[in-house]
Amino acid sequence: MNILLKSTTKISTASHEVQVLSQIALMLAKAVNTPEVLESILDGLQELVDYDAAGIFLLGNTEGEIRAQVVRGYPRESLINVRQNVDEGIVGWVIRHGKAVVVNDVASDPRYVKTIDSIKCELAVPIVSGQNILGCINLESNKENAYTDDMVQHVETLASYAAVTLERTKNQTQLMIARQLERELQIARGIQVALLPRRPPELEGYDIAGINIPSRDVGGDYFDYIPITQWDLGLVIADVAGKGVPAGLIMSGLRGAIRTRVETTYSIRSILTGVNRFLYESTGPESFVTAFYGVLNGRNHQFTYVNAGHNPPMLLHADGRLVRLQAGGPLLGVLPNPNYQNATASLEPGAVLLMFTDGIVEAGAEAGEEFGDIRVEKLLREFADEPANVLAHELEREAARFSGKDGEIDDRTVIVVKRL
Amino acid sequence: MKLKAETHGSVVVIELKGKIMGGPDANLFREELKNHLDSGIKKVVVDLGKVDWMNSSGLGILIGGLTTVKNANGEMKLARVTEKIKSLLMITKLVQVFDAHDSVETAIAAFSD
Repeated sequence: MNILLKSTTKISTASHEVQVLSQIALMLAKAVNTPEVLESILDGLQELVDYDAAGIFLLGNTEGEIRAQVVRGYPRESLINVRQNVDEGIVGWVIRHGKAVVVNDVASDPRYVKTIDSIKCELAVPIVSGQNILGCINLESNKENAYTDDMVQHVETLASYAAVTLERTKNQTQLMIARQLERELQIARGIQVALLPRRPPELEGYDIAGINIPSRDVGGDYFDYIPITQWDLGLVIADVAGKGVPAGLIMSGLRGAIRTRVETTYSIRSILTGVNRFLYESTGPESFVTAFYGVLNGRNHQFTYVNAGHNPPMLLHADGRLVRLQAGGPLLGVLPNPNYQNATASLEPGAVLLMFTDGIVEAGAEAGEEFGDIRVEKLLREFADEPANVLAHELEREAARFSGKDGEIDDRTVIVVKRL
Repeated sequence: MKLKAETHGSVVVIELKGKIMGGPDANLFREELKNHLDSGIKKVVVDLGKVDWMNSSGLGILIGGLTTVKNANGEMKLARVTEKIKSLLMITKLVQVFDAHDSVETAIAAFSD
């Protein structure tokens, strides 16, 4: 009779434990962040293992640092947000060794760090995920020999639940941050697209096209058409060193700096001197811009330009002569007082002017071979008789094809100006 | 990018290796320069002989380095500039800004005292 009673009690205890464990599992499945996970575990533990004080400790971001995440029964200010070192205490030992520990008489254990006078007994179990130790569940009791093997097993079960759930919520948090970042990049990209010309400019007797393919969501390349008078059209192509949002921010500053100066200043070299000054004063030494700015007059067909350290545009004359527009001065934003010189080229009927950024010539360089000027020139000659946008797209596509899977590495921008 | 530094008396020779692409490379180079400048070595030779490739962001590292050294009243020279870097310096018209030498020895010998 006695035996029967005892075993029934055991069965009912066991079924209670299974019930509690499955309830905790359900709660953990719904938990979406770390504090929620850890609170659920301490709640569940209360049902299974008696404790007077409990805490869950996780390894911090700094090496060797342990942080108390949730605590019960301790004087709150003594533990929460306190950082301790992995070399200290029973908790530190368990995290270092990845093994559970029961200390029946804490006073005689040299590892023990006293927080509450009445504590006699401590149980600490590591939270392990694969090869990684994430932290430790720590229980303390005022009773001697409070923790049985069964209890150790329960805490170990919960520690394994904790490990799985912590990894899952960590991934979810990272995913959420990544999605947020992605959204912000899309917004930035949208702003940037709005800063680039939407359609080619109209200049009688000319066929003009431009394209920009950014490397990632936000790019550092910039091109622009700026109507100055009925017959004068400003053309800009520029490349901000670097990529992503920082380059995009400098690019939008550059656009503003150029456009406001074009409105008030006619001299091309003065415009670039001013833009250089602006960039020199507002960015660090590693930030710079290579730029080419020219004004095309649609009546006398003179193209006056300054090349500020940019890949020289190619001017292909109808008779097959090819001129590279190099004259100007150093790149923008690095030197305090550089000297810029204007130069002028004449666009005869049939002439094709091709401007591009280094994303075209340097396509494929990652893999060992650059697309290079020679291929650019070859394509220019091959498609010189086609409409401007055909040449622009053909060049961009060929460079992208050449760079293969590295095609995302740099922005590619092309402007084609054809005199009809 | 890999980086190796060796001091020759009052001059430090910093050898850059591999691809120079900007980003984290810039910090690595700047920190290295700062360590030497802080310890009183103000003459710097940057040996580019083993650089496979450099893009315009990589050029930014050299420009940033030159500024760091000049701000500390130091001098920086380039040695063994590869064809690719030469062409970048030509396009960007920075040839006059950098003092470039064919060998590390001539770069060291070119310091004013």
